[in-house]
Amino acid sequence: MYGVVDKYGFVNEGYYLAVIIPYRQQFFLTQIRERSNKGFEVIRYGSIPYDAGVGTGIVPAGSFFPSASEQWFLKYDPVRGLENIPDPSVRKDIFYHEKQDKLYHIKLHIQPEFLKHVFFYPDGQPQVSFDTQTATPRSDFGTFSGWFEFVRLPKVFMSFRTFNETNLNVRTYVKIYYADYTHKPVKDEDVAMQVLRKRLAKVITLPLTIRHNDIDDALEETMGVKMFDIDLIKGEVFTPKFVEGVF
Amino acid sequence: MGDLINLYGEVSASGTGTINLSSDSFTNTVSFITIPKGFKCKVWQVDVSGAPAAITLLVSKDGGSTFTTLKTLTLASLGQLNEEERSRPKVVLAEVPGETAIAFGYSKATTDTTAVAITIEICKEEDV
Repeated sequence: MYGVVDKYGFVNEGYYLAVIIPYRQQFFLTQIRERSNKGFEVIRYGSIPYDAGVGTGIVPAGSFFPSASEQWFLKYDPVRGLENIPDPSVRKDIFYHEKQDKLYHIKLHIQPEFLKHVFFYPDGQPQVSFDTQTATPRSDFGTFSGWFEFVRLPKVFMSFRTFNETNLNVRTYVKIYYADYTHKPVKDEDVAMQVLRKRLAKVITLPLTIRHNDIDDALEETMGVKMFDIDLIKGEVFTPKFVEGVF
Repeated sequence: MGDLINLYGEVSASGTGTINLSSDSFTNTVSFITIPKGFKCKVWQVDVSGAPAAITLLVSKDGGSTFTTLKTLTLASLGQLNEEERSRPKVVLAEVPGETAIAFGYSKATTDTTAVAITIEICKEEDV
């Protein structure tokens, strides 16, 4: 059956994607017009392309990867067939792009699953914290293991840092599922309400809690999407009802 | 399903000790494996072959300083012994990072070689 999402959880053509940006208390809604890699969603990426002293893609025992102060990127290098990508800045992040009407919806699976990772979006900006404490890969909070889902906005690099709690120098393997969307943002609030009421959209919350100019620029300048207030996500304008109580 | 790890090791010495383990999943050789916090380790299969030996599954809750024996598998004579725990594997849960560890001990009478091949799984605490 043709529904909002396919078997991978990616949005089918014609349906909508709502992306919540928590620090703005807003979301944007966009219609997926084209999925250029439909049917070919998998990249058998291989090991993480960094050497922390024990071999490429091997995370040292009891240690950060690549180091306590560096991040790793999903570079082009391990992917056979992408050797001739010319731009070195783009080469460092396989899902970096600068197109207004393009979004990458990605799902990473990083093995082994017992490794802990934090993500940086944009590169260098950790996003998850508990109260005021920013998560590190060593934290018991704010890390992910195994699966990670994200929607990549234009002109923003993404990076990761990993921690290995075991005493094993473990080999890594990354498998990527992705959808290459061409999209058209919804700008009209009434249309947005109809779409959400009729449950025609997949809703994703990007775990972005810290404001950053690169993200704001991607949304407002590069993509030019209309940001709707989070109240609208329910498919209706929230009007608080005040009842005057009798005290 | 978590990560299945195939371990292998050999012992030629007589007496008792712990087996040094290698794997295609990691590059160093270790005498025990620490389990990450919030994860558990399932022992799915132990295969013992070669010279007679008693192989013990050992668990530590103090980072590998002291071990408790959970189970012993005895190969009584030259040959091969395989034990699979298809439905009820031995499970060890880690509550503190680096403190819970498993190892495999041996007890042998001869200096002939005994080989072990072990399959473990490290999976999230909430996984079945």
